[in-house]
Amino acid sequence: MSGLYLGVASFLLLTIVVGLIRIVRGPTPADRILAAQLFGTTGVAALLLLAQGVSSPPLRDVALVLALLAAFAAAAFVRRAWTGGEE
Amino acid sequence: MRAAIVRAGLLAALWWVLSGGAWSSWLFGIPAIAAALYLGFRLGSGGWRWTFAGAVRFLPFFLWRSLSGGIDVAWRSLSPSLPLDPDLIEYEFRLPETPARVFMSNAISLLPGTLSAEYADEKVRVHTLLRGPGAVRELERLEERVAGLFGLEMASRGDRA
Amino acid sequence: MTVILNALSAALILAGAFFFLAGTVGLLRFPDVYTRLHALTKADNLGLGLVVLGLLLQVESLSEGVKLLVIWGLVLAAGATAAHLVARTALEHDIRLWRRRE
Repeated sequence: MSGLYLGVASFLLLTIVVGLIRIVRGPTPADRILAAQLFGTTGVAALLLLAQGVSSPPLRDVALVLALLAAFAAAAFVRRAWTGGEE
Repeated sequence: MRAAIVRAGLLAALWWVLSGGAWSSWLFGIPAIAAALYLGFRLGSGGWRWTFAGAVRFLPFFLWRSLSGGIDVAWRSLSPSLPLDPDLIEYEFRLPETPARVFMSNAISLLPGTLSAEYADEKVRVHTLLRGPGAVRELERLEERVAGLFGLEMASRGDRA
Repeated sequence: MTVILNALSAALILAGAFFFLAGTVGLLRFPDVYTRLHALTKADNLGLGLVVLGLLLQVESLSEGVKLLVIWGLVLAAGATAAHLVARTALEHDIRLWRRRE
């Protein structure tokens, strides 16, 4: 099974890389913020598969932290990086 | 007081899960739980009262609709003709309370074809992938389930000005 | 028994991968930020859900399983909130939504 986990994890990383085309192209800042969403969800899935594939449970905690950070990143992007100021 | 005990129990369960059940971790766990309890009440998130029966009905509904939502959007993105006809609609809440309304606006985005785009206390603006009455029907069904989840009575449409 | 469990687990994980692929395709093909948000939020969250279900069939302890579910729930809630924030800010900045011309 570990071959499957690692294979799917690599495939997910590939979908992130391909998704980056949108981030580069934009055209609006909102389109670029989608990177946080893309990395958050897909990255968490890839890390969970990796944790199983290489039998390394601590990677699950990394996934958990990534899930938390992605949420904050999106909120921070929207508030600061885009509007460029405080509310 | 009961709310505090229930919440402390849930937080302790969460800590147990996160720490993988190691005894020594409670040295950090207990202060963390205390801090979370304090912050929770300080920030006043006490309005989330839900009923067990409502949750039993809500969960399968929500899982089923978000499954359909994923299948629907996957089909649209892979279909060569790109079957989209987006629209922006306004939906007036019948739910009487703010926490339930906020909860509903979040759930909207996981349902088929709807995305909550702007929330103002009385109503929510929803971006839809498809023009037509389907989205409103979807929202009405969700609202009924959310009302059940929070054990709330909904205002009837006629009561509104 | 393990054979069936493994097969089911593999099927769920592969189905999950399919939805991640669909999400990325939508992100690239959909015409504006609002429609792209639909694709990312719904397809990716379903993808993660299926991957988590597939992994749940393989867990060795209760706390491990609950942790997977907590992660899923967290991503679900965070994703929905982030999608709303981005859509709202896009509207505030008058980013026009794409409409089909008749």
